[in-house]
Amino acid sequence: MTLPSRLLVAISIALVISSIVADLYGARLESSYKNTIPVGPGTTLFLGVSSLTSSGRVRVEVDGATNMYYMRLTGDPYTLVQQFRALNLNVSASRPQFDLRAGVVYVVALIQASPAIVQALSLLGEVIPVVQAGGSTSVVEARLATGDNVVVIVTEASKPVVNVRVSYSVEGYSRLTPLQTMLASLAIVAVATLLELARRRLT
Amino acid sequence: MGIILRLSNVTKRFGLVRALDNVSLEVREGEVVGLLGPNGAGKTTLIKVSLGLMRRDSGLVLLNGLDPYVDPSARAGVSVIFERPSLPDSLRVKDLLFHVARIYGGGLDDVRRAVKLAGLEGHEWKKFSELSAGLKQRAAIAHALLANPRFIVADEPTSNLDPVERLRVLELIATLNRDEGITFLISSHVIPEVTRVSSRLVVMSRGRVVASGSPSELLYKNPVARIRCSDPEKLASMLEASGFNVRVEGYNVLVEVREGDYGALLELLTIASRNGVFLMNVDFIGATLEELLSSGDST
Amino acid sequence: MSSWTGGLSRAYHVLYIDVSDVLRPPGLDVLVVLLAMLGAILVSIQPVTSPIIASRIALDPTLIATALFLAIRSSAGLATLIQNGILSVYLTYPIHKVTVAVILFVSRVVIPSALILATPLATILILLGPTLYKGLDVILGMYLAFLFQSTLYGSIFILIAVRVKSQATSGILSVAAYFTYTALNLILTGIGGAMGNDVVRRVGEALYLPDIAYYAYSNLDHEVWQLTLVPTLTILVLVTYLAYMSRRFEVL
Repeated sequence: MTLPSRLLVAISIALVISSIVADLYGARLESSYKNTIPVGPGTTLFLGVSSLTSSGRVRVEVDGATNMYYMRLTGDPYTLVQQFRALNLNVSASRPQFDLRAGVVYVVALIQASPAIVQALSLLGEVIPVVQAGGSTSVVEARLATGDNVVVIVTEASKPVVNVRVSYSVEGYSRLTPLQTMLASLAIVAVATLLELARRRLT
Repeated sequence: MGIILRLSNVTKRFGLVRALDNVSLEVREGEVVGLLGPNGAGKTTLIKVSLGLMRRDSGLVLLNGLDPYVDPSARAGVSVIFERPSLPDSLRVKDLLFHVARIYGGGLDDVRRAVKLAGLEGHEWKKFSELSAGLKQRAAIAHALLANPRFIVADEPTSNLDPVERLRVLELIATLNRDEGITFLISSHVIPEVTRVSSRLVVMSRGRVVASGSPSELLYKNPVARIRCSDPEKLASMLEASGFNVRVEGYNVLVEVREGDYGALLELLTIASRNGVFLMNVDFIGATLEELLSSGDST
Repeated sequence: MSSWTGGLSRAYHVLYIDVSDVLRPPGLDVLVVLLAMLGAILVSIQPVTSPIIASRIALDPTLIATALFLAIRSSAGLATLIQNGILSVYLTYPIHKVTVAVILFVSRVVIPSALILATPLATILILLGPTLYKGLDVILGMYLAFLFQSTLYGSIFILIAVRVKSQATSGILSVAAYFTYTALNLILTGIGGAMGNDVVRRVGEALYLPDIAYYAYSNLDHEVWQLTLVPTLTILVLVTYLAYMSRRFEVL
């Protein structure tokens, strides 16, 4: 077989197998995160949502926050907490939760700091106050490109604990269905066969 | 006859070892030059330097009038058959030969002709590794023929072959020289093989040319006659009485024959035959490689 | 036919013969199936929407495999070519030694690298076509970055092969050279970062061109000269190889 035919066959085999794997264990287009977090006096809650490989729309709802802000950061999401540490902030707890199949990571960090921390954070980017939309729930909505982070900061709460709900829906992602992949593979094999037949006729 | 290859005072060192020591040599069109010498004599180095595949430390090499180390066009019309025939193994022989023919501006017709001349017909669809040792050598010869060569350099072309294949390859070389007019430089350490096809011999030892000349000049200058007979003792005593240097080995009588002794020897053999000694066979044995090397060293 | 086109035609046929040796089945076929499959699986188990990320996910493991393929098939393979006398056969063709050297570089470094790296990309472009087509230019840019990196490795490997002329030694030395280079990349980046030495850190980062291309496409911190380090090193190694082949190299 000629080299182009061999490569085409290799691609078609890889397509079929990867399509089956993708169908069984492939990407999810929705992701959510829920948590109840204790927020004492002098403690600031950070909730980061970072899109690792995907892009999409995020909605963060926080119950019980009296003073809440959000900011957008770009860059490597793993360095988010390190960026806070670089500002000499005492990060007392941090726990990332990955949802690789949705391409997103949620990072919760508790930082020992006064509400004046917001001024320090403005060194990293614009800090935007969030107005409570009726009742006691504050909502932040944002569109995330790959590598974007949205960080929600709760400096004061009306209760000892706050409830956090995050929903993330992937946008701009689609791949071939297994049937489409199978048809594409067959088409590639047909091209390889034609190339091979043409070569044999020529030589 | 024009000179195809000329080496003048060529020296090549590997560290402290002189692989070629002031070697001078000429190969003329139409000749088959046999390069004789034991292993390590410098034959392969001479071939590689002659083709420009190796640098020389001093001296002059002209192949087709050009320095092959500097100018690759010196190798136009020159082909090589290496000691271990080795060709790329990933293509079928015919496909490989086709691409090699294209390198020389030829095509499929040249491939068919080379395959036929080399006696490779019926095996050209195999891969090189699938061929027997003899067929590999034939494939290497077919490969060499694609250059439409005027000159083929063959480095021990029969060394890995069985006796039957050796003979066939030598016959092929003789045919190519006779019918196609191709000039050959053939290295070997086996005298009978080289003398079978060579018109001139060059003997090398320790990187130097120690002797050169036609096979008859070099090998049969002072040959030994080996006479197989029914009564070797009687024949030996007759020959000794006439002044010949003789020794008996079984039913053979070995007689040193100098120039001018042939007539006397034939007369004595006739007399011996009349006196009841039955002569079965007479042949002349040429000098051995060791004898050639020692005669070269002494000169 | 002019001598220039004649020379090109001769070079093409030697190239064809040598490429057939380097890319002979089944080694290449098994490798590209595995790499294409790995790349396609990695980009389909997560919803990759960025062409930059998709090409990195597919090509980072492919580059490691390509480097090892080059070390074994190209470097050790070239040494075998020298040992078994096939290179001597190439050199008896009426082609200049430097041309043969260039052919060997193309057939044993550029073409295998280009094909092995292209196969997973082609696979993910088919599988994630609707998502990735908008970023074809970025994917091409990332591909070229990986190709340059692979070409640098390959250039080092064939220089080793023509110098040592031994199959086993050149294979081992090439693998060692690859890991040494990778370690140097990590060590310089790490030391530079830890010591706050920006120059050392940036040199370390620049030893891996795909990282810099990723930074450039993602608008992350980088300097323009970092994009030129790997191509410059490749050219230096290549010039050394060609000079060695034309002036010092001798067949066995």
